Amino acid sequence: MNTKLARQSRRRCGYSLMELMVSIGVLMIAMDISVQLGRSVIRAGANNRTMNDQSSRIDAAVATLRGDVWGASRIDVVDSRTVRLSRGGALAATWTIAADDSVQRTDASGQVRQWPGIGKNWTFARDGAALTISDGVSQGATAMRCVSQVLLAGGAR
Amino acid sequence: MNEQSRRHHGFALMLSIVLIGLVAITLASLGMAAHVDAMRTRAAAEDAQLRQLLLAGAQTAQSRLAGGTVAGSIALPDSLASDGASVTLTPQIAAAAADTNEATIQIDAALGRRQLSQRVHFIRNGTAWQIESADLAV
Repeated sequence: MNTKLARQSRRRCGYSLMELMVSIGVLMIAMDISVQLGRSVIRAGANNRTMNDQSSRIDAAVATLRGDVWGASRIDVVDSRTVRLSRGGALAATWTIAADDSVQRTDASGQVRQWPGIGKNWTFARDGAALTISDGVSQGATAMRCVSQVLLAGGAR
Repeated sequence: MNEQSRRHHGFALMLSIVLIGLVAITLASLGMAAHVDAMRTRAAAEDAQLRQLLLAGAQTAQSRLAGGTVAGSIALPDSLASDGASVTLTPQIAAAAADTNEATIQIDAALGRRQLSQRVHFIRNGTAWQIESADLAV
């Protein structure tokens, strides 16, 4: 009897091959899930930062463009990627979408301000007393519209 | 055997805490992104409303200049007033005198806690006043 108990006890000290394989399998699946989850967290964080940076750049560029258009007495859309804004008969600023998708503003003194990477598919169009900016996705009423206070009050030129 | 079982529970517990932590960080990050996006959308809508109020203010200033008294706030619809909207006109260069041919009016629009203002320069054209230039305060 004692010999039998001793043999059973010895047998419980280890694991069978099947138990080990199942444990390793479960462990690998769990590790795989946690690694993928970790990667997703890092990727989501990086995407958030990129989106926030881009949003800030777009907001800054649009606020400046809106200010230029607001006081413009003349809006000349040279082509779909260039617009010239004049105040009181003189050129005030030229806005250009460059080939590298950066948005550039050149003022009358030749000083250039640039917002990189935000102008992908942007196009300018004149709409009465307003300048419309479309990004190729937003169309019609959802495209961005910058109104000129001067042209609106005095009639579009 | 009990010791081994406890050791296994400890590993499972650690793994679950790590996974729950990662999920919590992801959810918090997504929630934060959605919140920032919602705030940005709301700010854009309020700015659009403020610009509309500035346009209305310039129109009112133009018609008041013909009458002579420009300073003061303008009456707004109840729906806007209840949202805390207001438009105030403040002459910067006096234009009341009949021989003055220029006027600069500061127009301040407010909607709740957000504010936007512009300075509009008018010139007299016969009996009417027309806008010569406008500067939006950015």
